[in-house]
Amino acid sequence: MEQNKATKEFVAESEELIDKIFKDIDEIDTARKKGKPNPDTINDLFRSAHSLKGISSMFGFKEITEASHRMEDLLDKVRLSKVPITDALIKTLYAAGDTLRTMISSETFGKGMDIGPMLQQLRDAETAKQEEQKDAIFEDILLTKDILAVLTEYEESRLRENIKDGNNLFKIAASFSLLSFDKELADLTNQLKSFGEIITTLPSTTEAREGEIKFDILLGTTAPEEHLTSSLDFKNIKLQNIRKQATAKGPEGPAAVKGVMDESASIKGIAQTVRVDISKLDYIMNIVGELVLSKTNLVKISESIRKSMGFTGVSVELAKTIKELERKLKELQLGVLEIRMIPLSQLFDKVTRTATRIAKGLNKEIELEFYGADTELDKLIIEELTDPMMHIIRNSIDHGIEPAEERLIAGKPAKGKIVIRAYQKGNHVLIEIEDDGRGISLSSVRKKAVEKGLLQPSAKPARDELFNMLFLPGFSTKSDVSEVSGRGVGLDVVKTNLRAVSGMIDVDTQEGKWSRFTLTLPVTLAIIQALLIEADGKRYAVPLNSINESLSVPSDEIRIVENKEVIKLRETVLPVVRLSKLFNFNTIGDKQEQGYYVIVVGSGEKWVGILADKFVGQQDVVIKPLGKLLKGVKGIAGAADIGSGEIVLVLDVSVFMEEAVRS
Amino acid sequence: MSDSILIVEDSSTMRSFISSTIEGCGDYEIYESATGFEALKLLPQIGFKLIITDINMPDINGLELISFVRKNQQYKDIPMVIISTEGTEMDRRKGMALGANEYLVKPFRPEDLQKIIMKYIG
Repeated sequence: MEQNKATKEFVAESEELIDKIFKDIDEIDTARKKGKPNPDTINDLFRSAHSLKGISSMFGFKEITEASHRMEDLLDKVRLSKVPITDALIKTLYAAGDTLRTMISSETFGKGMDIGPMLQQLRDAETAKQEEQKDAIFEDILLTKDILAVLTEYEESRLRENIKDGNNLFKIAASFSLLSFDKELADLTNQLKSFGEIITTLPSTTEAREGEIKFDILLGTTAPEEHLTSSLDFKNIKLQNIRKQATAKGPEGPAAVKGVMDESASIKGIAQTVRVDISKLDYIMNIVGELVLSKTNLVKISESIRKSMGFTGVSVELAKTIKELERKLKELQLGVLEIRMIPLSQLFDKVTRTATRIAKGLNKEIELEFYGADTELDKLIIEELTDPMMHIIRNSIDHGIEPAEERLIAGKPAKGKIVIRAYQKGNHVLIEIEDDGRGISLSSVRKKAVEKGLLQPSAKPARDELFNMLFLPGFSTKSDVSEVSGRGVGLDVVKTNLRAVSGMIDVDTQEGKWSRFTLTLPVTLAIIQALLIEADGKRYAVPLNSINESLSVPSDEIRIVENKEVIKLRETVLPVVRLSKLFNFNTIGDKQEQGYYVIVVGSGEKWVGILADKFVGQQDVVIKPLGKLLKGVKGIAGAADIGSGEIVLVLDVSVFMEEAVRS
Repeated sequence: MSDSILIVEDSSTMRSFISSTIEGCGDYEIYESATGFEALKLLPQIGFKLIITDINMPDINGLELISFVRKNQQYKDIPMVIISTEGTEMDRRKGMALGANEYLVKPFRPEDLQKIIMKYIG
């Protein structure tokens, strides 16, 4: 058990490190093309490899240790400017990162994996020599031995580089209150970073006033002293130029790494975040859900007291208290939900990295555009979303986006474009993934469907129905399954994954021009508002966010068209389903005298009506999974306790839409 | 009251490893800080009997922490242990020169750390 928890902690931290590693390589690669990468990013990258080595070695994961060790050694030379940053280096680092990720996510942590070639690659990269450089000497700077003694090897090398580049060097002495120095220092640091590179920050040992602490900051910059003095607005700051001759190259010197610097996370940001296991949040959410049920019971008790003794004295107090409780519960619920929400930007980062790599592998040039990166979704949903999103994007790059020559002939720019838009619509978040590739050919979908026996050769399916076939198991229109998009498993898996989080997927395309996949997801899964209905004597809960409208119809307005029951809704024909039929229950009677209620559910172009005999009410429910035995039942998302111990089934409406189309 | 030990290390996995090792050898009050800044804040508040520090950390580095502690009248006698990785000999040498008492190289065995703890505050 103990071991288990420790291993989990290892996996969590190492996954975070790997994510950082990729982010930093990306950043270095981008900055390199514009000029000089930020030394801080290179150092961060080194430190991630270093930390990964440290923790994996404590766990005895030999392969991960060895691989991260080699990577660390290489990066150490890079940060000490002994190895130049080249295309080959970046490629090697990406490859090493991939191998590390594979090992960390494997059950055996890479045990027995052949990492020989990767180690060799890293070793080879280490031998790439930087042009011979003369070591800058520290003689022409005014630094006490004390300060030189506490610089790490890396900091020493950064100091050397700054001297070599002819930058100005300043020692900035500042004192802060012991209580708030970290915040104030972070502010000062951020301000200084806009001028150049902070080589080190050291707590000063010279006398500080009671309750205060002094720091010396070493700054390398192309900016002249006047710039600094005029822009720094901190009290208690002393600035000292520590270059003996002011030999700074000034503006024509290497461009200050300013732009890149601003992106580095502030210390404050780190200190104010906590990492929480999502299961802990689920636990709290469950308790909140149960509290809501207790409250519902309290309301019932309060009502019966009021009935028996009238609206006086205790019953008034009780009603008031319950109202108060209700309000606070709602706030609590919202608060917990809020914690679970994370912006899609995290997912987008991941997607960008993978997409860039896939495109490189396929020799295709693509451009990704994101809109709505700050749209928030439940963390659980975002996690479940990674695979489906990647699958669709992989498909787009592999099958959708044409090779450059083909694109040029078609009059498109050589570079393919994938646009991802996210936005909230009511209780749903929609994510559209659109590429400007060759689109999906309806005739080949049709041909394939007939080949696979999914469609009668004589059938004349509607456009929508054809598109639906794309999501059937084993369907793939590309005749030779390529390595990238996978092994014939296709969009059906995407659909199943999405259904696990109550999501839906739609596709639209124009042949030769574009294709667009639209994912519709609930904002959260934890607590939902539901409409309780009764059909054939059984109660069900229908998620309110999937209901479009409800109406009542007389029995004789239900007609049968092409063997399907339908009603006329305004100018369209709406298929309707009977729950008892869908779940194979015995029906009480076929015809109901007083007519039915129809609950219209669906999205986009697809709508279906559910027949109900009665509306019971509307309330918040917490969906609990069904046991293993009932897990596979189609059309049921789970069960919910609706108070006083009564359990109802919660319907999964996405299934009804298919049934309606198919039956 | 049990003796207090400070762990300064930015990897949370390493921190838990070190603290569980310390817990295995007696009743100590363990304080963990992920950054040098946190350590600087804790120093005046707690009378530490031992400080265990990493060298490469995000804000102030371990060498600076050692130097700060050694030059401060109030803390100068607190024993300090460097936890570092192989490949950073130069930094380690500097640390010892600045007045650290011991060093451990990752990966180390729990017994090695326990021995050091016993030597200074056992």
